Amino acid sequence: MVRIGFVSMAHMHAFSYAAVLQSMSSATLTGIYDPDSERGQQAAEQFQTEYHAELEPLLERCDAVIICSENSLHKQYTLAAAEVGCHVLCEKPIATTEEDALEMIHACDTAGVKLEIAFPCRFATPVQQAKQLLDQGILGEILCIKGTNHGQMPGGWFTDRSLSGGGAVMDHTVHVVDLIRWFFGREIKTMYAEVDTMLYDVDIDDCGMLSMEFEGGMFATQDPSWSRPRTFPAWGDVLLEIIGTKGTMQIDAFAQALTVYDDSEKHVSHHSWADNMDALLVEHFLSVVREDKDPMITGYDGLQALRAALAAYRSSEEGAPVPVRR
Amino acid sequence: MQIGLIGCGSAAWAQAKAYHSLQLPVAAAADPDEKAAQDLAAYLGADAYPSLEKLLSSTDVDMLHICAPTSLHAKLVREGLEAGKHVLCEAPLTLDAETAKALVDLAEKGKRQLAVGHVFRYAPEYEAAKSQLEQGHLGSPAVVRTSRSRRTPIGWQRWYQDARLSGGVILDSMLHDLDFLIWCFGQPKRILVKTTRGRGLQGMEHALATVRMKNGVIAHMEAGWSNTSNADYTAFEISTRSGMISHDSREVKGLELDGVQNPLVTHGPASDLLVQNAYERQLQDVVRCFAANGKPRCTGRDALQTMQAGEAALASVAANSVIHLAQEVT
Repeated sequence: MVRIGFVSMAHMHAFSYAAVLQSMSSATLTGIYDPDSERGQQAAEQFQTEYHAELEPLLERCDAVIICSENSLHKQYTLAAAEVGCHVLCEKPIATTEEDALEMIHACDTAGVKLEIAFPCRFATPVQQAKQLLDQGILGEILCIKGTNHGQMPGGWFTDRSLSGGGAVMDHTVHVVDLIRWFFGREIKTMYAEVDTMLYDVDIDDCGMLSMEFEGGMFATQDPSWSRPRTFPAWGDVLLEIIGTKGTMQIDAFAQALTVYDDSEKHVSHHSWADNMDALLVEHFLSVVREDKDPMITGYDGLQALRAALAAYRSSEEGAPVPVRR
Repeated sequence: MQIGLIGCGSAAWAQAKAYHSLQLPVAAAADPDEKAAQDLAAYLGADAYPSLEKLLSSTDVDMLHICAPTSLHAKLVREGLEAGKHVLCEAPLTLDAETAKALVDLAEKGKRQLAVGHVFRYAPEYEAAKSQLEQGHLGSPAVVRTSRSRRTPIGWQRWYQDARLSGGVILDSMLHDLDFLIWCFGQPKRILVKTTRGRGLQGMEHALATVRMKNGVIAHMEAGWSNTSNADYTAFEISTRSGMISHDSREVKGLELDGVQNPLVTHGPASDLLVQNAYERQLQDVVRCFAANGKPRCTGRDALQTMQAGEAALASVAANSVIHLAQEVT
């Protein structure tokens, strides 16, 4: 029985992971730490577990933690967990600076604890099947990729730069970049981006457009904009169109959904009937902890995705393509 | 208005059908391939000629419609304007902005009309999107995405496949979306384009572009020549401060057949489920404007702006970097 604690419920994915854990027989939800006591207590009540106002007592009782704090706090919580030997599943992006990400990776390595980054899209069944087909080389040589990870504007701390590290580009670059890196095992060489605030009265980027060159001459574009209106029937999308010499592939990670027209709410919405990718991610992380395996999504994967987002901001400022470090 | 059609290949046939259904009088058709000229002329009840020169010396047309391969546009448009004719030229007008500018100047100097077939300015779905934006209720536009795919075009002696003659998918297809962006939002400020040309797609090509407009709009354009089963479509999505407009021709299924086939039911961007399709609307407007000295939706000068952006798109591919557009050519 793996004992799991939650470190902050600031990111909405925490509620999905907690619901998943609650239903699992191979793990227990040991408790929730949250510096926001109201949010923490409510979540503890919802998931029938203990609320902790202090982090250390919770860490002492856990084998692993899921960190869903604001992005800029990932580092301090990861270091605290590593110090007492707790494994870490950390919400994306890994951190808000390269230095923080490197420190997290180093601390977990030194302490001998697992560090996995939550990119649940890897576990969406359409994406898993796409990966299998791509591994068989069915598209021939891959020439270019068109990606989008649109979303609605999330508000809250996502628009506070000191907590999020960036807006739409920070929030929505990393998923698609992670999928492309995972599919093809190639790193980005150069990044070109337009980044701006044009959709909302917020003091952070809410739209952008990225154009990347990967190793081996493959190129890709990615639209991370918070450009889904309030009336859009879903939170957003993760779409990939892959062009190879032998054919093309379209992936829609969230296509499996009903369209529900609800007069009582005056709203049209999508209702997913897909496999639960968050559950598959959490199950995988539990198996990493239980069986002492290597995480599928490493701290380095998190770092490379973060570097892509940071490079996009740099490129936009310089108005020119910039190299991406590896 | 007596009309002469120059070039009788596949592009001309699309136009010929529109002339036919509008019952606009085409007096003459010319093509160095005499059989092609005769076939098209027969369909339209016109006279066939082996060249523009012969057509001009034997007939008294008021307007020429250039449907020849792109690399011949400049010469044919110039000859037509010099002969005192109004000219409608299929897009792209030329392969570079300097040549386009010379043609525009020539038309203005000779007081002849020059229009260019950026036909999507007449496509009701694009027109409706522009009008929605102009009504203002959606707020200012921020992020625009366009997609466009067609079956890999072949053409006379495979001229489309020689990028020096056709500009590849960028001037053949992406230019229409660039024209739409310019029509709606004004000039681009900078552009970065990448394409698969020369990378083993065997005639097919796929290009992706990131554009920043001078008014701030960020745009992404996708254009493809493909031979897949779903090769013909157009799509766009315009996100604004208070909403979004989206269109995808693949989702527009006003009339479908299964198990039987009929040429009346087609699928593709220029939807025929209209009393008048975009080609017909364009011809009707251009002919009317040429007759009454009105202003068609895409004048030579409009096309020059679009050509300038198209040239920047090609330059971006050649330089593998972002191109900042110069001030407008005037």
